Amino acid sequence: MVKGTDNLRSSALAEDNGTAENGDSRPAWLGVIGLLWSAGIFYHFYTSLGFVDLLTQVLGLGS
Amino acid sequence: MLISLAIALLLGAAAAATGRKLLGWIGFRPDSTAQEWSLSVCLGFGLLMVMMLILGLSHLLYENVIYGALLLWGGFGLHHRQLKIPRRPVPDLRQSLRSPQAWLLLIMAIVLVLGSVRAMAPTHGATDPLAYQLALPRIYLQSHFLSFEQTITGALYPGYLGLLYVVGLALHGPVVAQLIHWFLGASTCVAVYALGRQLFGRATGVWAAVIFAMCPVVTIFASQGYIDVGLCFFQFCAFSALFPWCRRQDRSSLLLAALLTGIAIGVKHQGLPTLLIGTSVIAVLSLRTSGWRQALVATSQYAGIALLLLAPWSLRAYLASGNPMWPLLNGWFGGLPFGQVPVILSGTERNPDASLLQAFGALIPTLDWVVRRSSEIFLWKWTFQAAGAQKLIGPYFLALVPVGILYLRRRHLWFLGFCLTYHFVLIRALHLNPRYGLVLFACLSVLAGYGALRLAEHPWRWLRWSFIGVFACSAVMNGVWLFEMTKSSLPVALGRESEEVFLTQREPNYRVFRHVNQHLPEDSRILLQGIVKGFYCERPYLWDHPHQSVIEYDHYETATDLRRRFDELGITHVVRMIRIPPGRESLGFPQYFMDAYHEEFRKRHLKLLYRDESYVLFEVASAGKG
Repeated sequence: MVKGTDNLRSSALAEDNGTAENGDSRPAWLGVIGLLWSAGIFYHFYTSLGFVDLLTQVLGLGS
Repeated sequence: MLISLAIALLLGAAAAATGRKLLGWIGFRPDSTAQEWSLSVCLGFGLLMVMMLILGLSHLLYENVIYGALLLWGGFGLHHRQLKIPRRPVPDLRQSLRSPQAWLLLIMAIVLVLGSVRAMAPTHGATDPLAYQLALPRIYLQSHFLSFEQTITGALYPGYLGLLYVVGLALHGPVVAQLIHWFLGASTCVAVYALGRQLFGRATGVWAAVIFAMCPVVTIFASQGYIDVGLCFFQFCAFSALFPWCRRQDRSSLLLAALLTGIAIGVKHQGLPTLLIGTSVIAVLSLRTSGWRQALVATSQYAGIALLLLAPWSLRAYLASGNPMWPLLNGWFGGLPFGQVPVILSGTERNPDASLLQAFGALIPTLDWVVRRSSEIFLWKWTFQAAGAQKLIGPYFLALVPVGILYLRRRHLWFLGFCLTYHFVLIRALHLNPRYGLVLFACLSVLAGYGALRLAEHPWRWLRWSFIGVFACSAVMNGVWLFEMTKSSLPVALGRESEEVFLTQREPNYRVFRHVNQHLPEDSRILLQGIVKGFYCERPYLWDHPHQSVIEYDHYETATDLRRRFDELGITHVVRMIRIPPGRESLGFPQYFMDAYHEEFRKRHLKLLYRDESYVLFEVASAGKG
């Protein structure tokens, strides 16, 4: 459940009827799978398609 | 250029106001202000496009008549004070800055502003807008009616959005047309927010809108005079009206869905799946709830109204060519010959002469086809190995849609089914090309937004901040890429560089057409050979591309025979691309200067008037001198 001290989060969730805190009992570790998957895709995408090189070039960090 | 932006925004505001009045008449009850706004823009622009169609068919596309129609159209909504601006209490800034949603909205605002800057650059670069999507509206405006330009691609396709571009061209030139397309892209973000909010809640809506706004194929094409992001907007709005009908099954939702579907299928043939899916959904649901009689009535009403809005385009095409979808299904309708009949369905049998039934039968994939094309039909391919900008969907769908599915509840499974159905349509009937099926990605944005929300609102603090950090990094990368893409347009958009200088440097066609416009007589008729985009040509022209059948070179054995055909067509000049890019040779363009047949003709009948490093202008030598 949402901690009462986390006002911002609870206020956002109050508007979102589809989220876990509104009755979904799926285990929290599912989020670990989701995070690893999405972080892996983002990492592979940005490193393999030249975005990192572009960033270093724009920021003037290239040798 | 800022004037163009002001005009485009004013047009958008007028569309929202007029559309809201129409929405009220229809009696549709929107779920949110965002939905009301996006559906109003859709309806408002829909009405304007129908008005322009009537003017175009009546030979009345004169600037003054267009201005009058605009006053009538915009004044209608604005007079009734239909422009609704939501009034909310001013939020606490400190609290807002701590909310991820505020940062998401800031990211979206930056993406949209950069997009508007690119749209403010004079039309250049891309082939499709300069060759036909903006070129045809310009010809319509010059000829004051919807003339049939047989050699220009899509000359008889339905073209509602092109008529909106006619308005932009009449008001302040092609930049307004580009900004209208950009505005439709921004409006799609609002519509995506509205659907995300309706299905999963407000925060999902915000994530979904940002993800859609950052999709590369959207950011690239929305700022140019293409029509695909506009098609996505009209299709998405049609589905956004269809979904409430599924819940309510009321007449007003049905009428709205039918009208918006009619507009969507009248923007481009690729919009036709909207009608097929809508008709199927209405038939099945009505049959289940109200019996076959009611199902028949509802389905006929929906399809009838939608087809009524498509009918003028089909009739125009039929009268001009004998085929209501010319040149599609030419083998079936037997219309005016076309060089190479386009293949519509990516079926097992790529047979352009297949009957309609055979063509639809070919939709069902064989196992062999699935195995052969497996690398092309999934998000993985479009994410990591996109072949060209039109397939560049970015990382968000592959990264976040599976997460959304992981958390999906049973009551939302229908939406996943809808996305899978449209994915099937995209890979079988829309050439496996994401640009033709952007509405799928608008819907997937909602699923991806839901996945993102579930990670960003995860009960474990470390996990949600890890995800927000990863997403923020991706947004920075995207921002850098977008800025790189935009910075060359900044000086001209801000008025620090003239349009003339910009176009001279960046549009290879521009200089040759400037020469044509300044030096050739008004009654010249020009043949464009190669990838010569005719938008900047102010003389009548024909486009000699491999699929046109006005000049079929095989029919003219000698240079003299060909010269006779030139005279029949009244061709006085030729603008030729000097070197056809290697990738385009495979499409059927000859290397004119290395082709013995064309060289023979050039030596005997063409006289050089102008050349630069990319194009030459020839005069067709007068009879007797050749």
